[in-house]
Amino acid sequence: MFDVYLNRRHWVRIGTLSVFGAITADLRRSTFAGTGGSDEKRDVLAKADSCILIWLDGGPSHLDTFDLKPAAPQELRGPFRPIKTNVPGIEISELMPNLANQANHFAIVRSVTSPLGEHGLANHYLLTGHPPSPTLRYPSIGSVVSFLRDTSSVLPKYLSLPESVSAGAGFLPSEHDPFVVAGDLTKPDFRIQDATFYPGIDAERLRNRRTFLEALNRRANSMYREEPSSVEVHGLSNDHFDRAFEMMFNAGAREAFQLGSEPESKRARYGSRKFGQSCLLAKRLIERGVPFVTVVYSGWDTHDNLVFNLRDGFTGAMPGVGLIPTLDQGLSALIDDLSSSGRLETTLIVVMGEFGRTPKINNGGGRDHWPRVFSVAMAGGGIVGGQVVGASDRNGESPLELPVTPADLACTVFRLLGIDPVQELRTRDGRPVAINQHGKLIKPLVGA
Amino acid sequence: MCAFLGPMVIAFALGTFTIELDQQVDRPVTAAIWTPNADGVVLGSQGRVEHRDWPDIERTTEIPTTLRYVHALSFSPDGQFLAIAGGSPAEYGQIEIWNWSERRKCAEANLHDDVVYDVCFHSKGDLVVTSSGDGTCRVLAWSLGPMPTFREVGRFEAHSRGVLSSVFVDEDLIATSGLDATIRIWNCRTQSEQRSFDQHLAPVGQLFLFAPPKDPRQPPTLSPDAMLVSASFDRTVRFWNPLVGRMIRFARVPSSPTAMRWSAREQSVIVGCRDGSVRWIDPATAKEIATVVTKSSRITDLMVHPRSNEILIIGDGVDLYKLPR
Amino acid sequence: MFKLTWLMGYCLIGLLSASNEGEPSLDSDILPWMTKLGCNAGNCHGSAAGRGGFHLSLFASDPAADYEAIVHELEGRRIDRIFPERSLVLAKPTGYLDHGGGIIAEDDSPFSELLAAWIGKGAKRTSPRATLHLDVQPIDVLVSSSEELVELQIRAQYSDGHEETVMSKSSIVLPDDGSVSLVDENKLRVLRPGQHTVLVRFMDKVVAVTLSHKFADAAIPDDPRAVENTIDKHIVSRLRDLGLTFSPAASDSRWLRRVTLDLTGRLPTLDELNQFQSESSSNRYESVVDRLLSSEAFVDFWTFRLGRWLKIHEQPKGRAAFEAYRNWLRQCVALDVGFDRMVRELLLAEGDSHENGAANFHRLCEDARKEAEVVARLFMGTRMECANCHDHPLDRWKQDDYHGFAALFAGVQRERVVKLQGRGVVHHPKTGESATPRIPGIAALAQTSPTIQHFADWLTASDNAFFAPAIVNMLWKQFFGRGLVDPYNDFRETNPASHPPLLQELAKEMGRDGYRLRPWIKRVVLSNTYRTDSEDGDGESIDPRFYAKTIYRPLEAEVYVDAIRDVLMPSTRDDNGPHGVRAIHPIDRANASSSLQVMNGCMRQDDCSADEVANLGLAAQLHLMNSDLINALLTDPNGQLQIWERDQVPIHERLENIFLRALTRNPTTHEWNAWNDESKSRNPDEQTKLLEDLVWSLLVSKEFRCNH
Repeated sequence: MFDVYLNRRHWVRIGTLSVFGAITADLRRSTFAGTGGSDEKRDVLAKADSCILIWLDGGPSHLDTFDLKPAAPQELRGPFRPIKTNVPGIEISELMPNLANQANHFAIVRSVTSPLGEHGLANHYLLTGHPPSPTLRYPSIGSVVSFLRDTSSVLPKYLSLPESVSAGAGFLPSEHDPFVVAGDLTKPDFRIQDATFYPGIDAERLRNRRTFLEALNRRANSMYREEPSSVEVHGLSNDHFDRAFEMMFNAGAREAFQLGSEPESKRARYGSRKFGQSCLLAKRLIERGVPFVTVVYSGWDTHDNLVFNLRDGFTGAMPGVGLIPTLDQGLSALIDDLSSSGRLETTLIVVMGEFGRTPKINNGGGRDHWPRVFSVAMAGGGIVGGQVVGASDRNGESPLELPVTPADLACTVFRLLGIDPVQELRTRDGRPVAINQHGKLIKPLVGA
Repeated sequence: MCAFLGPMVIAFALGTFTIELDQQVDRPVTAAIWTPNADGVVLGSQGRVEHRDWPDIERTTEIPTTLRYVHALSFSPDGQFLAIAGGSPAEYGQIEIWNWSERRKCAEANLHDDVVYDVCFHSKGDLVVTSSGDGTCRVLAWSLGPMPTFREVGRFEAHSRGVLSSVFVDEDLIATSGLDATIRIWNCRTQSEQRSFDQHLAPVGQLFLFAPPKDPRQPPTLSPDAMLVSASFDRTVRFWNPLVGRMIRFARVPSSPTAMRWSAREQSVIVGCRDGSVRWIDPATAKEIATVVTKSSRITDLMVHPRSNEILIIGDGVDLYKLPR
Repeated sequence: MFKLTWLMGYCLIGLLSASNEGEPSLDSDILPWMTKLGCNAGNCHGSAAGRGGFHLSLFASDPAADYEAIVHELEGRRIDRIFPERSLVLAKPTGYLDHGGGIIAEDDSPFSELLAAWIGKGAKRTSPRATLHLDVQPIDVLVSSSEELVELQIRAQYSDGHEETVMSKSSIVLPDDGSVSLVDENKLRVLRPGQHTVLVRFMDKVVAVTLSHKFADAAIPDDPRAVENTIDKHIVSRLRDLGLTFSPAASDSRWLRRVTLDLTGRLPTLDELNQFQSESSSNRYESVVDRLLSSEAFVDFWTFRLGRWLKIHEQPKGRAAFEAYRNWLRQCVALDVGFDRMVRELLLAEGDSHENGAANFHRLCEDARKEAEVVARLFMGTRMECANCHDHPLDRWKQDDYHGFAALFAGVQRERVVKLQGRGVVHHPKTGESATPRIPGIAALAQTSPTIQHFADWLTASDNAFFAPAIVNMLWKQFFGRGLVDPYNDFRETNPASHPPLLQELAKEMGRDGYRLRPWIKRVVLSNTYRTDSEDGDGESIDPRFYAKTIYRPLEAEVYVDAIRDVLMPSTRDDNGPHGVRAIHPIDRANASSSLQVMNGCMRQDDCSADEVANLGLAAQLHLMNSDLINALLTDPNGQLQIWERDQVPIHERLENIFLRALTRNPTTHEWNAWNDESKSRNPDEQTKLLEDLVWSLLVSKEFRCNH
């Protein structure tokens, strides 16, 4: 399995040296699916080309979104009622009327369970599929995809909008950290920072710079060697500035970020807030070949006042513009757009946060951290929609059926993206680490 | 044999006293009740129910229950029948009805998914309410004939976790409390919830009504000065007005309360704690007015004799202390 | 009055034979097994909310509470006194009753039998028992191959005088599947070369076992560089144990760049380079170090570095306080005040924080608990946060330590005028009462409760086991990229140092030097370990923690930005240039320029140790490429490139000069070729632009962005 990493790095090298050659090779299947022998396609479903992770940072309340308990005692069931969806038998929060019309597209896993109830640790577990270890920083799912997947696009392979997410490349080279699209996406003329040519600098001069940088870095890498080597210095792997150069050479790539070129009506449909615009940008990015985009939506750590935070957003808002209506608008627009263009089939959408919230509403009218059971919604990319997988118990305290761990979720995402989860990566000190440990495919989700 | 003698009168002027052990039983007591005419106590423990006379507390007879665990004992309002409740943890809950004078079992039912922690008779005697570790309460109708039979007539499922304690607060209204840290008041005929109190921060193990009707055949009535008293592992004893539905006052105790009774003589609440102390609390002020410290590491139960006002303290399940009036 | 039934008989026997060896003990038999089987782990019954309604203390840290939960809670439902084997606490883990955690023990497992026997004998906890000492042998062992098994011996010494082998009921925590495996219950197999830590847990004691596996079996010849110097002696001997070669020394110019950056945060000037290279005396290294240590730039830079360590930052409307704090620190560095005195001043400072800079230390901590955590991290190198909610599972800290320690700082008034004797208490969450102030790890004194003054005395006493190692380790990280204990502020019994004796000796030496910065630095940078070359000779997978070679350390963002200006804008060297003060000056990154914010993922209030330019994400790359950070200086009329252009300096000279300024070396043949290939067909005007392009590449190259 060491070969995987070396092959991969060798390839990076080649890609780098072919300065003007497009980075086109798709080694996903040719290099990786075959590493253990030709009959090893077993662990790969490969239904999805790309993944949009809607990361509800802070831990969304399962009891107020996807797993309502109308029969539970009052201090548990919360302020919101369930409504019927377009799939008989499935009900979700009344604050998500648009998603309720799309239930045929998504599946809800209501039995996700994790032992970790502190934000940092839980984030790490959900975003990487590995419980945190004091000795090793695991890469997030997006970083693994970025590391293994080769695309024809010069766009970054893993982006995070509109802010960064806590888990990054871990022990993988730092170029697989998510590219953070900062800035105010809600502006009509939003564009990414520092992506226009500096006055007096043109493509020709950037090519010169790239040539010189190659020459300089080669020396640093090979002072005592006859051949240029692929030695990577801890934390400094991405010295070749490849993506940055490619983006500057490719106007189309930069155009991906220009939300202003979308019709006003479309931007409005996603909602005027950052979250909706991030969903729209995510859609533009995956349409242009980006394999993994995380849309970070923070504010879900609702320790107090559920009605205000989840529904209203600000005092007296009619209708509410709180977290859930905003999620409903942006996410439903995304699902709509992708399904009408036919892309939903190859785009996996995962909606999750680091944990759920306590069944019992606290004295501040909020809910505290509750990792023992919570819900995750998934759509597209090989997911069989219109179903609920697993169940929590009557008060939403523990899994009742089919407990699903964050490792299982990660395993399922990897397999849908065509990545064999037992494949090994190498840490910087050469230790082999399986992409996913102890995770199992959540079979009903994929109709298996 | 009572090492604690005269100074009880002074005790209630404020103070802390240590009392000596009277007797030990051989198996930790898990339920205790006075006999209908108060001439003895009935003690329940694992696999056993026994009758001891008073005031010697010598064992007289054993009631051959088949229950594996006994968690609650209750006499019917007319004193004819004894309900024994318990079961097998994480398996089932059971209730047996015995004809007390004949020491004859006349009915039994197996109806919960976990042990029954408490059982309550309706003042009319036609209904019993069982509260179980499975989080449900069942309302059972039983006939008063020579061979009573049970029929489940209702089920209350609002508690999110096991139910530990129950008490009637009005003719048909019952208060139940449990591991979910709530107290719920509901109608045993309709099983509709009237109100719930969720201010406790930890399981609520003890409930009683102040002051209960003198004659158990009379239903309690919700008067404006009625008080529901609850004790919780959050180390508080709280006083509620079940009529208007709010907390009136609360007292903090230094150690988790594990047993609680009403003492008519001192007009106060007696609370036994996990540290082996027994504390008298004035319901009017929620102030502690006296403390007795036992040699035991915890108080399992407390009983106040309905006539003599003597107090039987059960410590560590096996240590018996008598506190004379 | 006693009635003796058969059961009572059991109880009596139980009472009489409490100390008998045949009697299972809850504390030293049952609970360790529960720990070993994972019952009381954080994801099972040990979690704060328990599991399935049953709560145990985390890793059995509170046996009395566990006894209560197992035996008494809910009227004793979890044990069956008549048929012990039917007890809930046994029927669940053995699978007779549905158990959320699955089947974790067989009927006839030692755990099941011990538990049944204990319940059969009355489930008593007659004599609480503590482990005084857990003896694990060996605790540090070297193997040459994975065939060599390491057999562990584990013995516990109890508070009641009893002593026994506890191998089978101890928990062995392996670092990960790939490096060490357990064979036959008590033997360890080391699977990979390197140094690994295995934890042995029994009751509340945890012992770390260090297992080293040779990289190569070949004998390493004696290295003359392992001379009297403490550092070299330990580093070289460890390398030899592991079969690793100590890299040759770096070139003089590379060493000069390295030491100048580390001591002053600046690149060596051409004059400095020439002077150094012209000297041939053997003490030329020492004279460079002495010159750097006595420079103003050293004071500036170490004010910055220590300021970052102390997390000095400016609060809203806090300019005056910030200036006072920084000036105080600068004064300490300038006068080489010992760390012991500095820390005492920080802890004990009172008064107007606009005048007494050190008093701002208290102001920058939100509250007493935060201050306790910060003090523990900075000055004891230890993380006490875990002990807020429960006894620290991997360390000695108890909840009483945490809250008692926090209580020391409860009286601090964090206003503009700082006072230490204000009122305030810290509530202990377990008792609900106010915590008794205490020095961590020291049981509360009966008569007087300690104050911050007592703590400061204790901390800075010469025999304190925490202070000097924590300071040494923090400094070591500044010079070698990682701590001897890593992370550098996470000292734990379960996180041993890579070179324990070296850390101890360095700590002692620091004490002998009066905890002063300069002598310590001088000793380090003159060592052969600091001088090793940075290119690897042994393949790429050698663990950097053995110091066989110098690793590439990314410059701090501020140092990088200053270095760019120093190369391109020589006038800024004296802070008088058009760009004003240097980037290191504000210390505070929250108020830094947008460039610094892009170059750094993290803000300074966060405790991010990776606060360097290491992670050049795409945003930072685009910034370097397209912003004016470098571009504007390339074409600045006062910049070096344009001055040369005006002065018609030959292009080859410019190129050589810029390499020397930036990298302290001449261009290689390869680099000359690259330049010639690109430039030969261009006219002079294009060559000027091409040179700008080359310089840009130089300034973003790894070699420039790192110290190495």
